[in-house]
Amino acid sequence: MISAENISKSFGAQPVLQQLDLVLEPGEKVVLSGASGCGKTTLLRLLAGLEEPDAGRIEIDGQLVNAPGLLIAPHHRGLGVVFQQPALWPHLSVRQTLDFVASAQHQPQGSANLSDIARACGIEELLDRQPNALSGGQARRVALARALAAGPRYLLLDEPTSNLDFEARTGLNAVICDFVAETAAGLLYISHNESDVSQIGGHHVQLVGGRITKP
Amino acid sequence: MSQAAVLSRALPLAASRRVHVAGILLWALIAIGPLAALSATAFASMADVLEMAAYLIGRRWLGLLAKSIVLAGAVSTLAVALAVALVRWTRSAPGRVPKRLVYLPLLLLLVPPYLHATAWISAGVTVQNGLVQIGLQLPSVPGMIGVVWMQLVAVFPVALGFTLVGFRMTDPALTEAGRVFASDLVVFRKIEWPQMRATVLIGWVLACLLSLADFSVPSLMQVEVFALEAFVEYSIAADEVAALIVAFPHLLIGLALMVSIAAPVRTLAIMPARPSGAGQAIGAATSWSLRVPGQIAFGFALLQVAVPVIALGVAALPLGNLASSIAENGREIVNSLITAGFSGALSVVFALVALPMLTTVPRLAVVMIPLAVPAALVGIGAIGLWTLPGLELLYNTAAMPVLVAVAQFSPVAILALFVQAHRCDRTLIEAAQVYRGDGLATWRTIYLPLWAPGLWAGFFAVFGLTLTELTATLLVSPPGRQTLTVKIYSLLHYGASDRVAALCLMVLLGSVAASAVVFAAMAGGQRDGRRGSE
Repeated sequence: MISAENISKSFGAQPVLQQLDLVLEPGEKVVLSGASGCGKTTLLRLLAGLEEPDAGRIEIDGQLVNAPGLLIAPHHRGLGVVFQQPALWPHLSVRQTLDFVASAQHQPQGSANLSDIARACGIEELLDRQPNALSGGQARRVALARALAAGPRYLLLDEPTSNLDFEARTGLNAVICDFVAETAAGLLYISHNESDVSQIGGHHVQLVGGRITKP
Repeated sequence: MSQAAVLSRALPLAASRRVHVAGILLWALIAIGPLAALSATAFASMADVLEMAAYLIGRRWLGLLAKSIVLAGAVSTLAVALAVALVRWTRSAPGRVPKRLVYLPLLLLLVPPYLHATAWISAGVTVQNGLVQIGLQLPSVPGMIGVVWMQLVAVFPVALGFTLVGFRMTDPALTEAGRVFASDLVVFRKIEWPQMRATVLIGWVLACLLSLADFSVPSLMQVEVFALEAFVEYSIAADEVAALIVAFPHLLIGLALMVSIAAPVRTLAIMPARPSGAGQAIGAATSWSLRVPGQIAFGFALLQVAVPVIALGVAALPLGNLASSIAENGREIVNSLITAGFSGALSVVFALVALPMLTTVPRLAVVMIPLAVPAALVGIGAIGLWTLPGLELLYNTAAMPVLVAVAQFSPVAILALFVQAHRCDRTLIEAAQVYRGDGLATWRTIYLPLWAPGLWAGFFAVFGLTLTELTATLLVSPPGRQTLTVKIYSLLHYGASDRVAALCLMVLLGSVAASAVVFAAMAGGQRDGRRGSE
């Protein structure tokens, strides 16, 4: 379980999150929406360990990962993250990217598993391509495949389907839902899009005034 | 989750924090140590210092300082004016040729002023001889005009490089929008210039410092400048305190200029590589006030490139001369390459060590301090430092030219990596941290390839600068370890111009090759940095 308690975060004099509480259980799906600039991405980055909260504590599976003076490195948190931009390493092919991520997992990931992920994400034909030879939609699918290849216990996705057409969006959301169903991973899914909310299902919450509310 | 997993929020560390701190201290010893050693010696004899300062100030000192400042200001301002005129014109010039040729002078970025001077003097002599044969004679060029011209051609690539970067940061869409309402000149002043002036200022400051520090061209043209004084003072009496006092104003000016550009350098590094639509052509300039200066600057740029290549090439012909020069100076060539190679490699290591620590503008300013120290002081200070008890092991060895080169030029490698690391999409680093942390595999597979352009650019920039460094190397070269540049300088002063041309051509080709790699690497790095966020 990811548990964030009393999380506050400001940038300069601008408070972004204020005493925010969030719980994400294994296998649970939470879709988070909110106005632009309300702090959705900041919350995701705090959970991932890419930012430090000003106050509050975050636990993952009972392990304290954030508290004043403590910040556990992102790769020790068992997360899969898809950023707003695909952020694919430009010098690695798709296959090298997946291998690099999978080889960090101390579990028998194996090429068979990577093939399954590639097939599920519809990138089998793209494995030997470099990122600059991918379209926007293909890059997003590779970014998702990278997150899945890490074998995460929790998926943190920041608008993973933005700029995709309806068909591509639906396909990608189906892959995400299947993964969650198969692995019982927890899912935090940031999106503005109504169709994403309905396709992903689970709980829908909003970030308003720095706190989580029900819509 | 171990304690080792606790993350630093700065850019990733290559090793433990202790190793980085030790590396930084070693860098400080090599790069700032010479100046610190000199200062300590001066403080130890403060009474003598004051007496000596009063004596020196009573001499012709202030007039010379004023003359050098005016010279450096004029050279750098002219260089920037020409660069701005050239780039603005080529941006809207018809056809591809000017747009491509504008990059050509950058190949001479690392070519030292004395090489330009040698080439222009050689060209002048050839033209003069030709004219004499048809009964004509060129009027003699006053020494100061000659110095301005030769320093101008030498520092022009620096000004041009930063002007090009500045223009690439301007958004053509904003320019086009302005052109609907105002003349080209007004659009340039009100819209383009404010977007690029901080970057152009960096070019102006560096050009100014280069001109202020150069005494090779003035001494060839027999013009007295301030930069020569410290060198002469030390050469006459081997008195390092006197040299420090003489060079002190130069040092202060350099430090002030460096501090003034620390914030623009940081801004330049963290800004997006270029706005969307940059590189898009702008309609042809309709105003003569942009067109004519641009065309004049274009002619200057072509001359600036053509004269050294042709003059040195012709003087070094036939090819047999070149071959025999290489054979005769094999030892100097090898010494130069080894010194430059080690200096580049060591600077790159220091760049990796320093990178995670450069989190504030003051820290960046500290790293840039060595660039402000006159080369003569680096050499003199290095002699003082490396003869201290416990450090004297390296004195009078082949390591000394490497140490003074690292002292002077390692900030260039550090800045190249700093820019590259900050230009890279931050999420590429964060993605690696999410999945693999900062371990060896991540360094090998992600960080080093992403930063490779900055590392290569830093290595070859230091390599090229070391290859052509003269002043400090002249002071610390051990017997039998002369570099090619020192040999050229000695030959120039003995008037052996026929042998010099071939050696100069070799150094020119080495510098051009190093510059080409630097620009290819940085251009590749900019592309990769953008690609990651697309």
